[in-house]
Amino acid sequence: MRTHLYMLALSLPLTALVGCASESSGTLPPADGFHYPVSLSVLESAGGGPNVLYVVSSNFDWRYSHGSVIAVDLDKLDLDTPAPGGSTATRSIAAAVNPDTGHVFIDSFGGLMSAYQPAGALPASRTLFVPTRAEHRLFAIRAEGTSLSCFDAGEARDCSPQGIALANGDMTAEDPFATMLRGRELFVTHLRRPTIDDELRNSYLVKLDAEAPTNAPVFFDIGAAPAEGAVDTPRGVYLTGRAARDAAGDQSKALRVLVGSSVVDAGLTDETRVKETRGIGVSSDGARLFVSTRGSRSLHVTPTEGPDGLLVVDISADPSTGAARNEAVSFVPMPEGASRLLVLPRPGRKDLVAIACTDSDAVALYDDELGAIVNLVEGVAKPYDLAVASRAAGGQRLFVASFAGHTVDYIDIPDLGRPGDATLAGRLGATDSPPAASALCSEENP
Amino acid sequence: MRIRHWTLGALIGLIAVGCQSEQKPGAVELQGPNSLAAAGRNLLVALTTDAQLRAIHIDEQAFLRAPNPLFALSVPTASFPRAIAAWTSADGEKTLPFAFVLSSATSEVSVVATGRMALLGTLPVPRTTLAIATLAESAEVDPQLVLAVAPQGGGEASLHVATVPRAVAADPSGLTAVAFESRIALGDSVPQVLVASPTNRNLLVVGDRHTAQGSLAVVDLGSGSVERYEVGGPVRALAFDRAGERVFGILDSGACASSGSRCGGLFAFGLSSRRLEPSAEAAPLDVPGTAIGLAAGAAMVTVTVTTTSAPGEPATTEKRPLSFDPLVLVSSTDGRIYLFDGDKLRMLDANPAGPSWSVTHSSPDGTTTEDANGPSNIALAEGAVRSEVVRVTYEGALLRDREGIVAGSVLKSGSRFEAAGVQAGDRVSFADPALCPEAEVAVVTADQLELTGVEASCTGAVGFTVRSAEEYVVVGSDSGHLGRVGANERFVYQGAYYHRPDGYDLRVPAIVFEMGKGDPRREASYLLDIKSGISASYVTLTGLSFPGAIVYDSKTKRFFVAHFGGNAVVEIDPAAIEWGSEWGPALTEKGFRIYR
Repeated sequence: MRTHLYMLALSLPLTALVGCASESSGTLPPADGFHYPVSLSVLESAGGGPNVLYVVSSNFDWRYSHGSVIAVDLDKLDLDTPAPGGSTATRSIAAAVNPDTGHVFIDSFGGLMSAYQPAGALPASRTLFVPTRAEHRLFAIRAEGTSLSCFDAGEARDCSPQGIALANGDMTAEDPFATMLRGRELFVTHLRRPTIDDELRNSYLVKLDAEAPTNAPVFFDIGAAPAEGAVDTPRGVYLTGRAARDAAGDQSKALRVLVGSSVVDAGLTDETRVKETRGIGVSSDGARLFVSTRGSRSLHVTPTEGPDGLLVVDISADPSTGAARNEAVSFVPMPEGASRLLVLPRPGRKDLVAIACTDSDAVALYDDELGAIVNLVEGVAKPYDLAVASRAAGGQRLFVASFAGHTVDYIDIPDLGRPGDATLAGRLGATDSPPAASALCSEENP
Repeated sequence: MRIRHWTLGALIGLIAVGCQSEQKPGAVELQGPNSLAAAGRNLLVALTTDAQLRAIHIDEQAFLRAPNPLFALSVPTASFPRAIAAWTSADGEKTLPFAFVLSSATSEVSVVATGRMALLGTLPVPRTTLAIATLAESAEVDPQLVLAVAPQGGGEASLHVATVPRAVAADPSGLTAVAFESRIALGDSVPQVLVASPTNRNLLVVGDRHTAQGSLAVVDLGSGSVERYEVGGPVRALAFDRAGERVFGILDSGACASSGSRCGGLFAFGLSSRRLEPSAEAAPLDVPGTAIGLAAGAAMVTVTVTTTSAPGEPATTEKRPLSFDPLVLVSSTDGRIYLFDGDKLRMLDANPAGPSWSVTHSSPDGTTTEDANGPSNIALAEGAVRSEVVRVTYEGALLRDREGIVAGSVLKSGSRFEAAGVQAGDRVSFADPALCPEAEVAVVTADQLELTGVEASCTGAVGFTVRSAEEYVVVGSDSGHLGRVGANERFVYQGAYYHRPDGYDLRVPAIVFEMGKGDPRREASYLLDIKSGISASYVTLTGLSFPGAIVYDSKTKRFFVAHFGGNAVVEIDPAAIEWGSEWGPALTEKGFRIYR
């Protein structure tokens, strides 16, 4: 039964909100541990600056009063040496988090953050944009290396009073979930269609100015079906999509693209029987999209109407029209629950793509040179977001948010040319017992 | 007398409830049916999600049961099984004592005893093993397993061979002594599919995802020879015909796209002639969507035969069962399974009519009018012309709204000028005509144009469009740039035959027309709305999607298709399918059985 619950958690926040509204205890989340981590970002500094891992904890079960953002100083963890206790033991982050400034609190149900470097800012300065679904708001967190602060609140740790409402007139972005940057433009997707006067309205793609996020956002009408992931490409901003049901029937727009100020259907569902797509990335040559697909599910029901897999979409320009071809050119079955993905460029070779297979507790490595999954790193409890950093010993280190494990696990890839050698190398988090789900909002009852 | 046979395309709208009624009691979850193989009378189904094999007894049309018959048999495998290798005799009765299941993600092959359907153990294989095959049974030699291994971190691709003693079936401890031997070097390539000849134990065919030369390799294990052939692009899937005389293949659209090119479709390669069929220059047969899997067999299909006794006489039609050997089934990302006549190398065409067209005129402002000055005497070749709108545009755009950089008289861009058909004398208009008036192309190279008439004010980043000068550009909505034609000239587009109807002639061009005096206003167009006259015969099942691997059973003359979307295996009996009397949905679900 547990298999689908976490994805349900990520896809049906309303369920959790309704079911758990009475559980907020007022207890602040730990400053040195993660609780349902959902989003990651890595800051790699050149020339002696800090290397930092930012982690958003969603507080999915409302065990605590808030969600959190934590900055982990990777330089203090010596991840190049084997973890004491082996790769499945959790390595404490306590010594790597500044006890005073290494964390802030935000609303619960955080989503996928983006890290923006403000104009004229120091190299290690970022603004972390985190959408949250508890109150349908966006948080802007200032990050100066390992120090975090609320956007406009000095030393305060609790940023929740400063959430930015994602609304403009009667247009609202309910359940904002993913963010994406294109220059200083910040795009936000949301998972739930707004209702006005008992009438379901269309979904939106929201655009804000990352330099002035409190300015009124721009709303692009994207039709009924909500979007999830977004990626900037030479052909426009592409959006993955979720199916929506309304009076007109199933609205499935698996792939849409923002060109200029118009969002158009890429026509993917016309030629492939895909109902929902989740993660998205663009190949390093900018000519193809990697898109994770999902079968539609309900509790206890096996996927139907489309499989879990990786779809490769040709978005190169048709010479005669200049328009993207938007043709599905390949499909690779994936372990169940394919969701977030991360493209890892390899000079002189085609890309490596890491895919979090949430329902399978595994991260798949797809080698585009070989057209196959070449490694399946298992043992990550409900993996979701991914981020990558360089390893001092060579190769890359893949950080994986373990949603159900309350840890950030890391996979070492000593040589991107030999992804089969990648292994689960360790876990980061709190070393005390993992927090059990609260009584009413247990993992079994989201 | 002209005889034209055609099957009727079938949109098999099986509702889920109807399909479930065909199941035997005790439905079995098939979580992620990724690959199939026949092992004697058992159909093996590899499941990615649960890392196991299920088996369907083909004659009994039921899942094999576990020792406790309340449950279906489950044979565990290594994680994420990618492919199965098994062998079945031509009569469908005999099999080897072992079937092998490749898990690329964990670099293991699971060895399964086909007699008692039990896991014997696993064999470690090189990390980049992408395909496996077993050789046909031999009384003299123990079963042999062949691996196709891509290079990792340099080196060459290779085939590795291991012999698995029959005694292992009774005593699995013997597996530890099984070792792979690198036997055949395949050069700088990525072999992703491997099939063994059903009639020649030494013959293997390898399909490459990437290679320097010829993505189809014919390998003789006995002599060690490797012959490479160009088949139109990288190869995604292969299947022998029953006689072992031909191998059918699917081009890998994804691998093409990753190399910046386009390809796709079905090809046939003759093992005797050692060339593409029906000719070395043959274009692949079109497969709508992106082809995934295929199988070749022999089966009856009820087709409708249209007979015309003489020109002008009314045509008569009748339904007639015809035997196709090989009959090739191809699965596609569009959810359909297409039927091909593997002998005449064409799709089973559901449409008795030939190509048709209509012409409309579009003014530069987009209004449509009647105008007889455009294309006339239009001749379209069935099998070469596609269903699309062909736009014939005066001073039409060859490249539209592109970005580039002007430096002096040179325009540089990421656009592929030569591929777009740009030539000297064409005109370049810029997004800001005040700064950059229109200029003329003097010299064309791959990524830059030398222009004449560039103003000094025109420098740096620009938006631009390239169009023909005083000519009509001909562009197909599907085919892309087809050529150009002047007023009162003849236009010929040769094209390629992606379908081969009776009497087709490679020398006959796809599109020929006489251009009239036209409408010499920039962007004035004539639109040829072309219907190819070909309607693909296919089956599709409501609620199921992403058909993938296909297997043919020679005893029952049925095909089995794994559906990743919907988690099912569909048995198709081509002879039993009841096609509609007209183009459209079949009226019954006869001929299909769903296992899930």
